[in-house]
Amino acid sequence: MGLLSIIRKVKAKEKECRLLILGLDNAGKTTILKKFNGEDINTISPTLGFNIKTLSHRGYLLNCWDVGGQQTIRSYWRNYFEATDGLIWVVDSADRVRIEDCKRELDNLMSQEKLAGASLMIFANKQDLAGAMSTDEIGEALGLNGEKFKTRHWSIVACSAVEGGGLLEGMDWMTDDISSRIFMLS
Amino acid sequence: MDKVDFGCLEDSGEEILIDGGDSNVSEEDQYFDEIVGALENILMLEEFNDLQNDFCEQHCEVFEDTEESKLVYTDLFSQYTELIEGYIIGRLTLEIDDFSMDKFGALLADRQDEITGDVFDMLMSFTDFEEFKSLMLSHKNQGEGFSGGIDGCLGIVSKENFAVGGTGAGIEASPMKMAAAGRKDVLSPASREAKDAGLSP
Ligand SMILES: Nc1nc2c(ncn2[C@@H]2O[C@H](COP(=O)(O)OP(=O)(O)O)[C@@H](O)[C@H]2O)c(=O)[nH]1
Ligand SMILES: [Mg+2]
Repeated sequence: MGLLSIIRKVKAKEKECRLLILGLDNAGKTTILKKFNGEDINTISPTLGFNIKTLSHRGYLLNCWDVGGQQTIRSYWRNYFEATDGLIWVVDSADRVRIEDCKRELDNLMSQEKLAGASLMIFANKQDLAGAMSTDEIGEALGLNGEKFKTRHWSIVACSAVEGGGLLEGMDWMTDDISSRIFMLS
Repeated sequence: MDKVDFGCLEDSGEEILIDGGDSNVSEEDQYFDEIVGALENILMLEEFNDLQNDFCEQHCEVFEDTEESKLVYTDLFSQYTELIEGYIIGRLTLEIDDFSMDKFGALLADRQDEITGDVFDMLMSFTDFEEFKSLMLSHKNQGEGFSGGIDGCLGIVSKENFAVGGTGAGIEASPMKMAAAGRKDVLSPASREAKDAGLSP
């Protein structure tokens, strides 16, 4: 590790963590982040770059990085892996057509060494839409009971970014899991 | 990464005074203090300031004042931190006989409560993406006026400081604060005037 990252690590406020929000385009990543932060969600356009927000949640500072998910820019995701404590994977539960794509991209992330220690929170988003897949269906489709997830701390939570349901539960799980791993507040 | 010539500096022979008579000061503490003292000096060097300004001027054009960031900012940010870190480590290696990042890193980790103050605040700020983005935006907005104003300010500060002999005491607080303030105070009257007078595009 270099000088600057050492200083950052030693000086970082105790309860600060870095969350990376990824998923296919149109999954609702930006909407989740803005809704959770109490911002207007009616004027969100597709993310071509990335957004950063620092949220304060239950005494933790969450540095959230929301990176665009269009196919052409997924290769840039790797530039955001460094020092990630938690990965939030957002799924459009109504998008059955692309659930295979969704699985492939998630599998790819799970094999990234830099994300090996990150907690994984899967938001089964858009539950308000008719025909949305349940968390069981999505878990099945993503192979969450398979070998790749054996050693991973993961959870899947049903949510609707537009209505707000489920967001708190997911964020609570994430902060709990990270704090039990990293901060060891016993 | 840009190459930096370390040979052209006059103040590199400076040493921080340590009270050799105090037997409570361990060798580790001395080593640590020596490096922190050197860091203080390095961060105030005109050459270091120029390095930052040049980078900002070269790359600020692509930055826009929108909430969403472009992917290319991330690449530029890592180039920026690499440039700065490379320069600092290069100078430390020159100025401290047996400088070892591993050793210094371990000492830093042991001194969580001690690493406060301007030097460490400034080093921390180099790792903050949001600060980087606003620095680039202010360079873009100020154009030539910005860098001219700040260069002048820093130049005067460091010359004065080194002229009093660099005994350590004078280096501690004020110049660093001015340097930091200068970087943020992008709408200083001087630079605004320069802009109004048509000195910048
Ligand atoms: N019905 C419904 N639409 C949603 C929900 N979350 C996001 N959307 C819509 O899905 C579209 C894509 O959202 P966005 O946040 O831009 O997705 P991103 O590309 O993953 O950042 C937008 O039109 C949102 O309004 C949800 O929970 N329910
Ligand atoms: Mg988005």
